[in-house]
Amino acid sequence: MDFSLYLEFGPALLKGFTYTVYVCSLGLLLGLVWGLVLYLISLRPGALWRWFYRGYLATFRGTPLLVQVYLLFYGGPFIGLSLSAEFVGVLCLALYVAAYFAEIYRSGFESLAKGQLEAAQDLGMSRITTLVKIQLPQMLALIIPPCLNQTIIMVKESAILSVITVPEMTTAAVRMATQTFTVVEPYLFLALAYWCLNFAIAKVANYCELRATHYLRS
Amino acid sequence: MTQQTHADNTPRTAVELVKLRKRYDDNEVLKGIDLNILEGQVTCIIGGSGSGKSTLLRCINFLEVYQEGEVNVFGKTIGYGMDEQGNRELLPKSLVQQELSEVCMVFQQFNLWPHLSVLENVMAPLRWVKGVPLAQAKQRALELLTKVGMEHKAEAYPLSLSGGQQQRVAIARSLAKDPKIMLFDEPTSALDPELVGEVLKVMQELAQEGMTMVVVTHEMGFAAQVSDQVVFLAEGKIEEQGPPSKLFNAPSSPKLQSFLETWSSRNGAAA
Amino acid sequence: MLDFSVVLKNAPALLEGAMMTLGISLFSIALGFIGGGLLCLARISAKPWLVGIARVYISALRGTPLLVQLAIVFYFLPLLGLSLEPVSAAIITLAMNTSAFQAEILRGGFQTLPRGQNEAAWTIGLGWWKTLRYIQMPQVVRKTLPSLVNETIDIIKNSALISTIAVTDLMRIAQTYSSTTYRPLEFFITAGLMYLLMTSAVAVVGRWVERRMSY
Repeated sequence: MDFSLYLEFGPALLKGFTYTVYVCSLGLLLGLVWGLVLYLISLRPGALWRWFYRGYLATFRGTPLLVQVYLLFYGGPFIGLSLSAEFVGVLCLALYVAAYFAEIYRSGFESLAKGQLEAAQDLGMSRITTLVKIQLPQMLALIIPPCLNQTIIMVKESAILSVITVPEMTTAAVRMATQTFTVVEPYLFLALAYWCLNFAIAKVANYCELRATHYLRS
Repeated sequence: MTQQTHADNTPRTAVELVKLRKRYDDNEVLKGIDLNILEGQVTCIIGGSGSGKSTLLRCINFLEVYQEGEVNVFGKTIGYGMDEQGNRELLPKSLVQQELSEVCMVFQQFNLWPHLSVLENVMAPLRWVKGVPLAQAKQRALELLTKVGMEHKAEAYPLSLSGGQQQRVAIARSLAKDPKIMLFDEPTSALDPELVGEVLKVMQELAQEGMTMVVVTHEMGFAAQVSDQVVFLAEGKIEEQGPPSKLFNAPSSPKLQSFLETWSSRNGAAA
Repeated sequence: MLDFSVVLKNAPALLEGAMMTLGISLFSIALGFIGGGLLCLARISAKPWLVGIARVYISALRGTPLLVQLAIVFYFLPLLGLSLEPVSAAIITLAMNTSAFQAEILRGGFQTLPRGQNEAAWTIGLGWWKTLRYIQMPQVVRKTLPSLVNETIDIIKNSALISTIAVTDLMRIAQTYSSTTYRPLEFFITAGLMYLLMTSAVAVVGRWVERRMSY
């Protein structure tokens, strides 16, 4: 172990780390929104919509992210889509994670007991009051933990973007490894950095779960 | 072939509790229980919720680890041995289980294994504990199922049965272990009222055959008719014990009196 | 625009790659199941040191990217004098990775078993091993089967990463041919479809087994 290497490569690694956080945050945000759109699509009547939704899910959940990334990055230019590595990275993360978010939204909405809505209607609550006061609070309790779990998976998958040279932290660490002919230092950093990031997200998930589901405990 | 002791002269002691104490952290649930249970007798333990009656029963087959006193089964202390210095030490679980080879429990929630058929449940102790050959085990299991009137459901799975049927299968499974002492932990409390009778009937037959039984129950009718001895537990102590005729007709302890009054007012004239 | 004749010409190579992907994935899943089972037993055991080891292992392997794990096994072990063939390195890494995930899946299964079932096993006289073998394991496997099938699908997908350590799996073959023929669209679409076929097949088989095993 040569810790002085960290002095030299520290700034580059740190920059990679912030870039990973940046890419993942963007991917998460876009994924949450696109996932909601997908969910709304799944609610539409009509076979075409249904097939689109199913096909989307099968494609993005049934194939490796690596294939998706390569297809867009290397195949894109052949159909006039010359996109930067960063753009491809964010886009692929978002498209991929949205497929999982859509299903999480679905199970969240479907698990609410119908009787509750009938009771709200019966008491004369408006649609919007019912949504804000009754549906959403319970939905969030059900949705937030699996969404954060999926986010953890996405953060780990983001390492894949290093193969198309997105300047995130795996790229930075691999560069450090090839320049210094070391293995332990760069990969130790990587493992710890990813672990800390995911640990932090898991802690947030736990906290949210406790906050959001306190009414389920006696 | 082993059950001939109860008719001639005095029956031997099957279970003996000596100054038995059990704590959960600071909460003492059993506060020094002394009790003698004779072979071939039926002992019913009654008491309100939180009186410690289930804990007492579970101490006998060491599902609960007691801290002080002794549980002796046929003269052998369960769960504890002596180290070289003569101090009491907890025995390894496998050894404790061997000591309990003549004791078996029937649970409130039946606890049948849902992935095994009724027949497989009953065969479990024969096949996996005693190592009886398949054909023989099957025959014996069917005999036991016939005894509890469940042979027609041998191929069914537990979750498709009513509570009363499940409990009868559970009794057959316990019998397959060939125990000398059977512990019943509120065997009818989880049952719909109309299913209680079929289980009590099986238990009554067992009692007539001379099985040593310790029964924690809310069924006062059963306790009055079938038991040789009734023990009333309150706040972790034996408040009163004796033959059912004495306890139910002339209770001396005020706690037992009010317990019986509450019970009969709740169950009305039916009792 | 799209011309799949190049792909067809190289179909045997792609199929070989797919067999490699499938073989390595399934072998890793099987190894990972054994490892995951042992890890799970350690995780739920009564010995604090065993629990500690299992927790650290599970947390480390679930919390870091597979790509990083692959690199560590492939580049780091040789430093300790343990040079591995790419294929062995791939299998070891995938198996270690999935064992952590499977351990958590199995632990979830154990937690859903009512305590009374174990008490019944105790009073009947079943020892630790027989209770595990005859009472707990059959139920845990049935209960966790959907999750185990999902994990298998994940491993097939994630195995695409072993192309980075020069295993000639489906992904690697697609990469090689797409760069030599300048037909990345065709090759990656085909590779994607082949992955989809494999994962769908596992899903279908999984559902069939689930139906067969329900009680």
